[in-house]
Amino acid sequence: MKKIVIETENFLLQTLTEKDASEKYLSWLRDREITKFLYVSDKEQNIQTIKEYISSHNNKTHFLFGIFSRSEEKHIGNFSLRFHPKDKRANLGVLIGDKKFWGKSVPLECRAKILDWVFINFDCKKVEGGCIANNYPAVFNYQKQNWKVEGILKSHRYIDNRACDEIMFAMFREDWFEQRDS
Amino acid sequence: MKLCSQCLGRIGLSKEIAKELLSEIFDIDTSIIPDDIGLSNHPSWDSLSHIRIIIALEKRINRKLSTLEIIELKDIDSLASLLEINYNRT
Repeated sequence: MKKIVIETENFLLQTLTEKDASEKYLSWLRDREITKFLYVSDKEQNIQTIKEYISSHNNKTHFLFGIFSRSEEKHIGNFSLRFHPKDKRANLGVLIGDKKFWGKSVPLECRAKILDWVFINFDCKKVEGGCIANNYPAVFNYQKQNWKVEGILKSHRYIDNRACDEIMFAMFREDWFEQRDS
Repeated sequence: MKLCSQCLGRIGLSKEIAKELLSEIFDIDTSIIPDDIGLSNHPSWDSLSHIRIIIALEKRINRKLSTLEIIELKDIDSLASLLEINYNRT
């Protein structure tokens, strides 16, 4: 499988391989504080389930990028990207596993380069993402980057026994290039 | 639509309260907070301070923000507006 590398100022986004299925990655999936707003399987995770998840990405339409800190040379999180060629649309999700990197604008910096990459390399008109309404830093990141709110999925998730809304965001190709080039 | 002087006074007051709230969170003097401060144009308004702003606002208005209000909160005007709406409810 061809390894894709996308460079940002502070990070390398690289195709994950089974070798990246580490104890550290596993610890993220077992940490409720990290996963509570994410769509992580309820089943018990282990190194093998991580390997299976990584290999489920075909690197043609489904991509899993590890976020690697350039200064510390370590894996700190992931971006998953699913492109739907028929609809010219992609879904983008992020996990920042290393809590030291929370609040450091990692999703903003990396997402910008992924948007460039997907809009330049694919016939993709729209990238969509979403987050739970009370995941305020995630909402902030979408707003800061001028993603459009497409809708609210009411009581879409139950988190800590509380019904939570999910906000759907979208970035359209022309809006992204206009913003990037202005 | 023309606003009466009382309404304009309240809006101005809400903006001043919003500035005070931001000044406490950013730990800077209200006098140096721009009139158009927002998450897109000020380095202090980052993802972590955004959490603090929402928590401080909820404490001030004594209720949780709705999802629509969370989406609307992007700058000092929307913050003042949420304070203003709450003022009118009390």
